[in-house]
Amino acid sequence: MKSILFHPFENYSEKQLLSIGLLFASISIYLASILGGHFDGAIDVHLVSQQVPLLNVFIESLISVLSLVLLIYIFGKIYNSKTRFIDIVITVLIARIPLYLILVFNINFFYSDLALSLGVDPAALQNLPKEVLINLLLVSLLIFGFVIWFFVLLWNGFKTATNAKGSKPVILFIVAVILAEVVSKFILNYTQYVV
Amino acid sequence: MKKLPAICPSCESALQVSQLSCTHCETKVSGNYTLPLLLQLTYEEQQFLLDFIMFSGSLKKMAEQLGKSYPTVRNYLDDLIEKINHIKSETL
Repeated sequence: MKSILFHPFENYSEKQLLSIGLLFASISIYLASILGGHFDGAIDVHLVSQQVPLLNVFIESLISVLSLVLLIYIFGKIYNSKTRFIDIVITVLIARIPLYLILVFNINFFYSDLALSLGVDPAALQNLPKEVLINLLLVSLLIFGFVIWFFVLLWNGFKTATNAKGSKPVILFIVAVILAEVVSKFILNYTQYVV
Repeated sequence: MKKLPAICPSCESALQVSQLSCTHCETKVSGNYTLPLLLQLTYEEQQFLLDFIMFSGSLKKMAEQLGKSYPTVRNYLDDLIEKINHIKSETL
């Protein structure tokens, strides 16, 4: 079980992993559109209180995935010239699955509405019913867990794809992820005017 | 089948052959012989190399047969190449 959740890149063929990754990416675009999710950055998912046009989610997903794939691939190649593009594509597609799961918490815009009301009036937190407060805490912890899971999968995929050992690949990986976030934010900011 | 130990269980140095014997006439030859390079690898590493030969060097076929992904098998081979180079440089 641990192998499937954290080390799928070691035991499954590229065809299996690529199919699962593409399937989840397609489903996530549809879910984000109806549940109010934005993939507005290489490592971002934000929940809003209204449906998002399918084209917007598609473009956001495409830019987020491509920026992460390209930056991690470039830095993977720097570390190990044998790094294959397909392994990095699979790494990014599979690692993003936990991010897609976060969308489920926004059914009926539950999480975004709550966050919005607390953003307007932080003092409202004290007046929330106990059950809602516990739910909010549990959901926040689960979202945090999914984000950690995403990074663990991303690192494990990178490690397998590049045969990473020692501290050098760790630094390259961190730089690649930060740069991917910056690049994706920049491109998404630009495409807002185009779409 | 008994596994031939290549590493000293006490100090983890490479073991050497000090005696060979004929099972037919019981002649014994004593000396100090270095183990051949392939025998200095672990049983699993030797098995991997045998599989590599049997699959005509196709890592994709090996990965399918072993139930591992292609990069995992390739990484194992790369680590093995590194280990062989290390053994070679130590014996020179």
